[in-house]
Amino acid sequence: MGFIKELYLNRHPGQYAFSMHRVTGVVLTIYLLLHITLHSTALLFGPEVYDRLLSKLENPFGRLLELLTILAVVIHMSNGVRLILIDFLDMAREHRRLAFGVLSFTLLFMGYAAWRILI
Amino acid sequence: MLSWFFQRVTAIFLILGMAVHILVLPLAGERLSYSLVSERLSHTGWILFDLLLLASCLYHGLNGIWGVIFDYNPKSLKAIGYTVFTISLIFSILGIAAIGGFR
Repeated sequence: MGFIKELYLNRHPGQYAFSMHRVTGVVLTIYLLLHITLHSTALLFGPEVYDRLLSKLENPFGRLLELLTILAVVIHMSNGVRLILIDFLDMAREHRRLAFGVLSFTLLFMGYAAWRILI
Repeated sequence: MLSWFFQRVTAIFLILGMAVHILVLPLAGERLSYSLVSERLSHTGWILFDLLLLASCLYHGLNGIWGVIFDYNPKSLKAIGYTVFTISLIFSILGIAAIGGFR
């Protein structure tokens, strides 16, 4: 886990972004495999079982998990846009402003997601 | 180099695809249910969208995991490659079964 050590040796936005990208990436891939397994196997048992399974997430803990998943997606996605801009549009000089943009977009979108899911 | 390029191509599709997936399903304000999903999947466009999303997600995620493992200089690179490829095949079949399973 060398990248955790890098976090305090190398304190700049790019390093934080790299660590967040890696952690959310691994978490999201594990989520994806579970997500596919759950939805495909639940269907084998018919619509009633499928609906009953989905209703198990209709509680505060389930909503929190849903929000955390969306948080991971938004962090990974907005940082991915930053990486594409740096790689393809040669915007490495703007990296500080881009990192600030990633943070702002993540906070804004999570505000919207929390409003939609919790209220 | 080719896998780096495809990682970017799937990324660009996923920016759009995941935004739609999240806005249409958990953030739509309707309770998710079998009938809601099967109504949506009665349109060919949505089936194609979901299949494309499944393929891009699996490729992007598993290629990413492969890249993370690669960073730690593993000895049995070939075995890890075959393992990741087998996992992607199994979950492609499961995913296609899930998309085709709504009637």
